[in-house]
Amino acid sequence: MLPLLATVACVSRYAALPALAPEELWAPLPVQHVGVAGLDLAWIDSGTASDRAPLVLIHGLSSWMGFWEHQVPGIAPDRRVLALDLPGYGASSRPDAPYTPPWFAEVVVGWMDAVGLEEAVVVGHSLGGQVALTLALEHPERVAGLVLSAPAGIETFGAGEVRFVKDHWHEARALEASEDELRAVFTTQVFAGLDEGGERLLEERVRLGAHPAFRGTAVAVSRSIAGMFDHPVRDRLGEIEAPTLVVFGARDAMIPNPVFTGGRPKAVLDEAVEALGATGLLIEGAGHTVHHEAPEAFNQAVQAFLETST
Amino acid sequence: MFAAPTLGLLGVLTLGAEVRAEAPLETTLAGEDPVVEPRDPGPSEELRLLGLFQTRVTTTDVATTSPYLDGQVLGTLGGTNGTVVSEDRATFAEQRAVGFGTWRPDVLDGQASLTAAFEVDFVVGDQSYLVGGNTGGAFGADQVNLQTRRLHASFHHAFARQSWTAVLGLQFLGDSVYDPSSAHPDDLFRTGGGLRFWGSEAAGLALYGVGEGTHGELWRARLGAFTLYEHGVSLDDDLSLVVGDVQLVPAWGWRVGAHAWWLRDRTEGRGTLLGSGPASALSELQGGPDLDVTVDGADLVWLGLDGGANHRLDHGRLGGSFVAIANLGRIYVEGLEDPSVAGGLAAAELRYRYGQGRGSVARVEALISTGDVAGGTYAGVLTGNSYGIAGATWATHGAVLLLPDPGAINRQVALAYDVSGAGQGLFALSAGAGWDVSPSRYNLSGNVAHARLGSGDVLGTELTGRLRWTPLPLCDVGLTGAVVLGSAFDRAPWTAFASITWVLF
Repeated sequence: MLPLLATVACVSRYAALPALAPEELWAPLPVQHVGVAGLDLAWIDSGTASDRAPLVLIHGLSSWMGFWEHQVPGIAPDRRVLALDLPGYGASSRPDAPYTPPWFAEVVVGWMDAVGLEEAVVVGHSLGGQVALTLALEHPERVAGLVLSAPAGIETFGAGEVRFVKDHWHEARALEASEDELRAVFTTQVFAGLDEGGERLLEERVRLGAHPAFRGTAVAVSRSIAGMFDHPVRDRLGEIEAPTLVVFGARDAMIPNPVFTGGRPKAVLDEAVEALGATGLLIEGAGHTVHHEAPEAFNQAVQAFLETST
Repeated sequence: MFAAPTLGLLGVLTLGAEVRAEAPLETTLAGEDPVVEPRDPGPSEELRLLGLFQTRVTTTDVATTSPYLDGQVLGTLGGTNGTVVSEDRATFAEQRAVGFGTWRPDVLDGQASLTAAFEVDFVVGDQSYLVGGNTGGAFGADQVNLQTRRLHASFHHAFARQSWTAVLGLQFLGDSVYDPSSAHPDDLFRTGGGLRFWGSEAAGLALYGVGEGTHGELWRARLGAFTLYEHGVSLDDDLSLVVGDVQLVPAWGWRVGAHAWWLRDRTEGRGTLLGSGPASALSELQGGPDLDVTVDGADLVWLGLDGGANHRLDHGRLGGSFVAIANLGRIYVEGLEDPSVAGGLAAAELRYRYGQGRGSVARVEALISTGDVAGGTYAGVLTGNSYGIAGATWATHGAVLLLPDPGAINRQVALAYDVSGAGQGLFALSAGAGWDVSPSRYNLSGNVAHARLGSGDVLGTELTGRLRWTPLPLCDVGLTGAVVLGSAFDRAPWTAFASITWVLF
């Protein structure tokens, strides 16, 4: 019981703190903004001078650039590393928009144009993984390689399962989560266990949830989930020619879906590796946010992949 | 001037449509809209349906010898229900279907709902014979067997970070602070009395309150009054239960609760065909005390404390709970000095999720209750098993023969059916571990449970093994085997069964 007591004694209650504005979210580097087709997109840039393909990092559902704290620039010290907040999330704008993976992919292409990137190794986590896959399918000339961290889009679901999830994740659902519920989700689903960085991300999520701008994020979450189902990529993975690395945490509690799919992450990893002709890595002990929970192993694997493949 | 709203509407209309790369980015954007507002409230929840379907095929050396109790057999193995451990193998199949429906009229904005639940239980091929409710599986069996499990209205009111629900009618009576109509099973099994004291249907009024702070739940409370038995409507001969419970949340995932329940018994031992109360045949049948007196009534009070952390194991890997409950009071008897009641129970459980999957959990649980009758005092525990069929359901121990199997359908017998240990006191220790071979798909588990009475007499040690396959969400196919070693029977009681448990949602 003592470890549990110690853990609980340290728990803070972030909901009592002031709401956090999107522009106040912590980022590993100074945040820049650029306008793309009416959108205000927030992004960060390591600025590393290199003639090798830069890396573009795309976060997952209900996340933001801060989830890449161990990757910017540690994922590739010898390359330029950039990350952006997808619209609806982080410090980017929250318009009335589809928020589907194809739409996000177009946004990323527009952003790459705006910041002068012709081609990049695209690194995507979860939802960001499906966005990266969509980008590689629709704009293969812009993708020098793919690094997929616990990507969505590999599993397939029945029509009834899709209806159930869509109904559950209606546009106001994300507004209903209390701090206690978020802590439970962060502790057991988003991560396999909260470390100091995860704790900070939880605090930011709780305080951001109290800001009026989060109402737009709630819409983005709902539409992003629906969009992942409505715009599947599973049957087209064989079309992707970009060299690809897929990484899963062995304790991922979100993929495979614990209700509808079951099984272990390795099964999804193997499926992705086969379908994409990719390199695969399973990191023991890590959960769904594998790049944050096992940054050394993740970054080393990416660097080895970059050396041999791009 | 209309550009922004028009584009905003366009953004909505493109939802669900194929937005391909060739589509101009600008056509799907509404750049002048600062923050989109949630508009879709989700589907109507006016009618909610939930179902439970169970099938079990059992082979066992436990048989019943009573000609009146072929279908539904409850109570102590080897007790007055006529169950024996036999050289003959009994093989039977049984089924249960329960439908829950809640109607929450949209026009009332969630302020009121009506819930009904009906159950059909039967043993395949068993005849209708008027005694025991769970029959009707024979040819032409459509004459029997629809049991009403719930029929209540719920009225909801929320204000100032508090929400209150009044439940009026036939409802589930538990022994914790949680509203059974919305609680997670672990809330009922692992808080308060853990259904060891009260766990069945009752008619009455219950008020459930939840208070929240900025971060989440701060407290819960329950107040309730139930009439468990009403004989003559103009006579003071009722069996009534009043409950009051409160639970505080001092820190994330932690809880501490206090409980006070008062049972007012003026039934003179009436209540079921087997009577009711601590001197009844009903109590003896279901493993409660069988006091050798003629009871006029009783006033009994239960006072308890419980607490724990992470009892659902959804806040981390380690969770635990404890409870200590004392029952006090006086039993009114004919022609003798009224005996007092002073007994108690303490139980604790610790669980640890050591691997991936909800089923990769190891647990250990201990329970001890006082007992015996001496000096005009009943020093044991009293539960709902002395007042209803079945009145309490201890569900966390993992055993199926030594202690009552919470997943049983019609035939639930155990060497220690009630936590009172037939009024003698009970010591029970259980430990088990499950392993999700494939999370949410295949699970293997093993359990060992040991029980002895307060007198020191060993009831036995059960070894249990299970294999569970989940082919569909919330649909389990299982194989279970169990044997009780060291019991007083000439043969070791054993059972093996295949089961399907499907929760329809």
